[in-house]
Amino acid sequence: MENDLLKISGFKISELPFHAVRFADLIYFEGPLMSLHLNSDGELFVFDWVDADSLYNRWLVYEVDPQVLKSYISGDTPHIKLINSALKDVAFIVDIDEQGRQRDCTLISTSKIPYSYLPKADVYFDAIECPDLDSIITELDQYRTSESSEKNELFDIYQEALNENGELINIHFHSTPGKVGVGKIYSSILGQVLVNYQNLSFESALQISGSNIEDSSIQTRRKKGELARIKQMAECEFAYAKAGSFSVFLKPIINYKTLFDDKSSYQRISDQIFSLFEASDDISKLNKINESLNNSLLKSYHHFLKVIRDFDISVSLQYASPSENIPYTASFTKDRVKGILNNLDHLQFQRTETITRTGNFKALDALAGSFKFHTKDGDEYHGKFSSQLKDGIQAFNFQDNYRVGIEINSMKKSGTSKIIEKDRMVSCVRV
Amino acid sequence: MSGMKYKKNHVELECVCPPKKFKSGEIQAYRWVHSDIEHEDNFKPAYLIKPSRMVNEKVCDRKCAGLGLSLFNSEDNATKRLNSLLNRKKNFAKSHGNCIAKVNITPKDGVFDEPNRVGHFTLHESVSCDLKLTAKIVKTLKIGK
Repeated sequence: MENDLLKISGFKISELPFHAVRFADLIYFEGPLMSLHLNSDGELFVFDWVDADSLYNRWLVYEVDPQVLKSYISGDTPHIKLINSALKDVAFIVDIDEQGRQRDCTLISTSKIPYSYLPKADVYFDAIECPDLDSIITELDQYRTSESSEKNELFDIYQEALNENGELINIHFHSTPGKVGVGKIYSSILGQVLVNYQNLSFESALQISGSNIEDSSIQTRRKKGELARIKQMAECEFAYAKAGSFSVFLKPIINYKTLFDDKSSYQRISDQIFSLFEASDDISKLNKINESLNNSLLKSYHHFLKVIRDFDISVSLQYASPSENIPYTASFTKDRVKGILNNLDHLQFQRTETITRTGNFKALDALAGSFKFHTKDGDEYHGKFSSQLKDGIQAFNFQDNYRVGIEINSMKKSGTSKIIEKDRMVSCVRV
Repeated sequence: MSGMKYKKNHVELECVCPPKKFKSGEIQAYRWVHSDIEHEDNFKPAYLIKPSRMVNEKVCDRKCAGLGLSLFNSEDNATKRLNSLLNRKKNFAKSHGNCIAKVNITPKDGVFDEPNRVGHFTLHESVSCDLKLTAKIVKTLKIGK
């Protein structure tokens, strides 16, 4: 066997955090290839063989809802959806040797499972592969029907992207009271979610674009036509819709790459958006990521979540590019949205950045030690001089141009949405 | 027919291996192999291929079957089953290959059971059996993304 097991990025643990006993095989050929394990709490785990080297077999391990497993066995749910429906949206990748010893156990999000470890999209349960069907059915009959199996039915977005030969975004809608059905959706829900997702993409594009500009600032004035180009980066067109429950597929209208980055503009937007999604469950992570995000992006994310909350729906997002075999996935259930909105409301930060601008003074107050400064680009800053500059205010005038350093201090307090910004001039040189 | 090739392993099992219903005979069969026909695992029983997936296997019949060679009674049956597994397990070809080889089994090669409903059967090899000598690759399956 070749020695080329993939390196898995995730949270490393010494071994699987549960003890479960194999009781049946869903696929068996010269040994189990997909088996069911049961722990003492009656929780069901699937061990899916995914790879091997000369010493270890590698297994993808995930907990499944008995109802979803029933649906898989009855042929209604494909193998890939069984994996995507893993409880808690996590899976383990673990290497096990012939003596049953575990090595390199990694906890990963189901959205980060390598593509080569996933079955094809159209593969369903096959009784021919399963030698233990009777014992599995007997076991599953012990589980009462529960309503918790309403997992989002996501598509194999990478396969869809390959078919389309381009980047693809899937927005998948789900709701219980009938606002969203198979192939049906209220126009207000569809419209609002699409508009707010578009705004989120646009703000992300602005953020990315800003980070490419040397000496950037939140007040940057853009060159003529630049904003239109950034808008295009975030713009998508409707590709197609699919039933189950209701899915809209979008594709970016342009594929813009920078000289030093192999990623497309939309991939970079998706990188940022999905990182934000992932971080926003945890206030400390959100605070950390927030240091690099602008307020408009957070606001647009807030609006997007509020639409989901107000319509009382669940939304899943997927992004895939034919060149990137690990698709991005994020699901927003009612409970998750509530938690994230709470985190966003309690986000507090204080950040300071210093920018350099050229322009002239419009107001000078020697007594108060304050200024109003207009840049050549038309931006305006007003605030106080630093203690070092304050004594030399009388040397400044309104006619000359100056190159100034302005320290911008932004602050948001917990429980408020307002950001307070204070400017302080820290250097000033006549040019 | 001479003795069984893996007799030492057979006697360690708590069941009769090979089962008594296995008979010798002449049959054309198909086996999954690696594209390199000389690959060391091509004609090795699953139980002896490293690393085996039969960790803590409790069912003796399965352990016994793991000491035999998996074969199919037609190229079509061999293809269908391999394709099915390759679609589910993209790395399956690493362990079992992605080619179908035709082999001729004669009474001196060992004993085998009746093909099941999907054409699969197991050959327990005799000491003198060497299927590689007659093996010829007749099909190579695509390893899809």
